[in-house]
Amino acid sequence: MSKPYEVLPFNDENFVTAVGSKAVAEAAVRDNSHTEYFVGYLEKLDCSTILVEPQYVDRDYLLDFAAYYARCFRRIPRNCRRLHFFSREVTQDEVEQALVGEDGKSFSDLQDAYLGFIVVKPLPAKFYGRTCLVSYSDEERRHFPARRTYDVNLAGDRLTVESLAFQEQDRDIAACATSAIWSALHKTGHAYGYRIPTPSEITKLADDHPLTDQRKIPNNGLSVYEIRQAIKSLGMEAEIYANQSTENILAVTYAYCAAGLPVILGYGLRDKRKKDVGHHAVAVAGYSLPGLPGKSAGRLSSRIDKLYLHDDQAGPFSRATVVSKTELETGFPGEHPPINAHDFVAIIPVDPKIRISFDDANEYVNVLAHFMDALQVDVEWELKLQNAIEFKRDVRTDPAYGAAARKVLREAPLPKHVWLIRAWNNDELLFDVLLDATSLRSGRLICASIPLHEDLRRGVWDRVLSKEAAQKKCRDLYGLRYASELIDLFKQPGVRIANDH
Amino acid sequence: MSMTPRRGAQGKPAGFKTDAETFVSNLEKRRDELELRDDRAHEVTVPPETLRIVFTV
Repeated sequence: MSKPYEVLPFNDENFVTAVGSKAVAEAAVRDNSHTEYFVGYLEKLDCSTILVEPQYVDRDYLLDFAAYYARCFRRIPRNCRRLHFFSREVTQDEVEQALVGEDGKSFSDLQDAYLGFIVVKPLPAKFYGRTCLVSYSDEERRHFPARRTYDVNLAGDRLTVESLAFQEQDRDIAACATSAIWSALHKTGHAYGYRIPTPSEITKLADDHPLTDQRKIPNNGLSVYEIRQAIKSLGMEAEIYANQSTENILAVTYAYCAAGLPVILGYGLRDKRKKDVGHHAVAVAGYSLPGLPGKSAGRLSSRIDKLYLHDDQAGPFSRATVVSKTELETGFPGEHPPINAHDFVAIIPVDPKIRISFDDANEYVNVLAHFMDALQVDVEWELKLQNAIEFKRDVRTDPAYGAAARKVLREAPLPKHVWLIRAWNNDELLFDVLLDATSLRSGRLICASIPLHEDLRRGVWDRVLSKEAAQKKCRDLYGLRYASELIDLFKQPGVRIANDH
Repeated sequence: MSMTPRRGAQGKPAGFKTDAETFVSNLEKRRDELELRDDRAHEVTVPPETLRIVFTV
């Protein structure tokens, strides 16, 4: 690897050659389980060419090097190498032309074929560092809302990749939980404007918890308490949900992940022999949701059949398939696969301004579902957190909204974060309700009621809710707050905005 | 954490036919299915033993 920028046709042998260096033996590359995963993953992406950048200064590794590796007796290099991947053949001549700018050529010309990069750390066994690869091709069922745009500087030229950063644990400064937090904060910290800490910084922040009873570096793992501590130390809050049911944990995961917030998902692992093999943590980067909304009564999130995990033992966008009411089948490597996940804990770093939790918003959905059941109308319910700016952006192009609703909603002052409840029936939206996610729990939560099916709204009002007996029963059962908000939802056409801000 | 009951109601939104009497009767029949949390109560959703789980593998 003498040339500064060398291209290699993509195949498994060349991948091993490209990863290998003086610091990383090719035998170690072959022995690392991620190598097989990356080769298989890149084959699925139709990778054709590897471009090797042999000297690369990686911020995360450099800070971890200064904090930990530099003080090892054995000499550990400070520079990494970076491998770039392309879905078309790139020749050495093209690289030379891009480097000298011949005929105006630059590496940016390769953007259409760019599949992302892997940083290779100069460590002996756990060397796969910051990795940003494109996800599987977008299909109707696959969704990767936790991705963000990464700028890639290649010899001063700009490339971009839509991804969520991944890296494997090294068991010194990071075990699985640190890697999962690091991946999650790559999106959440970026979205909220917080600095994204390195793995060693995350592990040190977690070490501040009073119930920490073991040294954290070298790292053998983090508890839920310590994960929460690390997140809080960065100025964010951690929402925590524990549940055995896949249906319930998918509802929580969808509510935050659909908003672009990666969920840190912890679980127990059990192999084919039903033997427990430990607790593991990953970051959820996406999900597979087949079919269109409104096809069944229940929760939209219940139809999720796969999660895409940044699993530092398997790889980025690793599939976890829903196989029962309490288990996911994961890609976790082990002697007796498949290794199934059970007893879930979802931890979500959120902006402290988001005070209304999933549970609070979920209660609204339960009340609405109970109410619509009594009206004998099939509804599939969607609940997700949303940034008000993104909501207003979506409203502009959402075919469910007419011009009048768009104007009212886009003009309306809305809180920065909202919970969006959507009632679907056969691809049609019956109504949307926005809850103020920054509100007081005891106060009025609805900030916008948006009836979208006028025949239904008029029918419910004329035949049912205009009658005092129906209103009284709602008040008796749901209490004054819920009852008045339900009645308001159907009372008159058009968007209703709460004006008490 | 309670989730929406999967009841599979019969109706379609267009041509909505349910009347107030049926609605009131349905609410009464399903009264027990509704679980509202008490805003004043501190709800413990995550038991302390769960918070102490260490993710190690």
